Amino acid sequence: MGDRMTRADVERSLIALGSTLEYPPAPAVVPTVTARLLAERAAARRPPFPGLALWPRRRILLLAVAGLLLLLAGTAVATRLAIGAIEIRVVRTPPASTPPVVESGTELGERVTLEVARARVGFPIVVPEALGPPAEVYVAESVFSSRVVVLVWDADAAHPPIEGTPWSTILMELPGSKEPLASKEILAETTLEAVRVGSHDAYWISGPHQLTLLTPEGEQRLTVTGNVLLWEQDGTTLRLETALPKAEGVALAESIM
Amino acid sequence: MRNRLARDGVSAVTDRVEGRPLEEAELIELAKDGDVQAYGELVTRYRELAFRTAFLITRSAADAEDAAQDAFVKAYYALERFRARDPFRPWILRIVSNEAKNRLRSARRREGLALRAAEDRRSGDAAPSPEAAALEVEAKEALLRALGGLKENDRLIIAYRYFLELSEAETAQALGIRPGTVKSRLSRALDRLRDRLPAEREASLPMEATDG
Repeated sequence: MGDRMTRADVERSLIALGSTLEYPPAPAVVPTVTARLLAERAAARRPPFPGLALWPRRRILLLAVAGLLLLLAGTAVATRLAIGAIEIRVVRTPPASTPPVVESGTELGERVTLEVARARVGFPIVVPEALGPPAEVYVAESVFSSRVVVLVWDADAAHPPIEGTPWSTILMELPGSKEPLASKEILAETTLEAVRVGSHDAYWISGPHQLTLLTPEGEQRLTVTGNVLLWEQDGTTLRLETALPKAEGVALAESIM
Repeated sequence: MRNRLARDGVSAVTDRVEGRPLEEAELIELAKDGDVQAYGELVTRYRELAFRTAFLITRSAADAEDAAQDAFVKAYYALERFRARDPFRPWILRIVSNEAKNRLRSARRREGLALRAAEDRRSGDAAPSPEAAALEVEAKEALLRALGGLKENDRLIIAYRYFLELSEAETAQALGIRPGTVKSRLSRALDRLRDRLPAEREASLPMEATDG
């Protein structure tokens, strides 16, 4: 046997080793952590004492979704959260199984009048006072025999058009549902902010992302170019898309109250 | 109907960030008041260190990511127990290391140490430090193997002091031990590490298995 390394040698070696250690790149945990906390808050289920395991049911769902997307995209899903009937998934790379389409009239469902839409869907359709009557109204089928309403408004001097569309505002209304009727895939880099619409918890999402409508025929994926505000009021999930900045977008949404 | 923890705190960071970056203590206070964005800023500051700590324990990038994420969520709810005069870094590291250890215990399946030392930095723009150059590749590997054979607590105290460069006081807080015991614990850990290292003149000989 040779001599044992001295304590000083070992310490020197450890310091040298520490300076050359390779770590995998640190993941973007910030959006997933804040999304989980916001989801907790939205569900009003703050644990009664610190450290309690968080939403086990959702964790199971999360694992299932993560596993599925791992198979599909080869990358991991970080987390998911939901507002009303829309679930939001934070993903590392957008799933790219089908080419997404930019929202346009033909993609939004059957064009009807507001009165017909009101008669067809089983929930009250709301309209922001600040905008007046919508330019066009569409009704689309979604899963679970639910119908989704899409209202659009033309652009004008005060309301710039959403990139890639002729409209200034797209308001999607979904009925209350225990199961998601639509999902959003946002990248970790997409800005997801908790805001308030009146007294309702809401998310403000800015940056391009994708919206997937779950229809009886399968998934319909839409590319979203505008800023999106998501919230739920009186059992209806509302999704407002606009080119306006956050404060004005929120003000517009609040004119629905 | 819904929980109203957020109040208007959500926008506090962006409202105030224009003037100057918020101090850590201010972020902690905002986070305690339910400001998730302020907490996100704290997470941003510590995510790298948290992930590295968790990785040193779990030796798996996926487990380290989960551990860091869960730890940050738990820490948010534990913030009310955090005392303002204490340093945040060791406090969060303690939560991270506990999460990472839990994961390790529930998934003892990996063999060997996944850590690697950078072997060739010549292509990079920075020249290796004299210490790094002096430590030969095989010696590094022997050291990594020896570290891998140590018990968790020994490995962690060594990692805190030499890899993550925490002070003795921070190490004590991160490990939840008295500051006076850091020196003796570290000393014993280093002795056990030395026991596992090949003698200098035999450094190039294969090591006996150290897993266990």
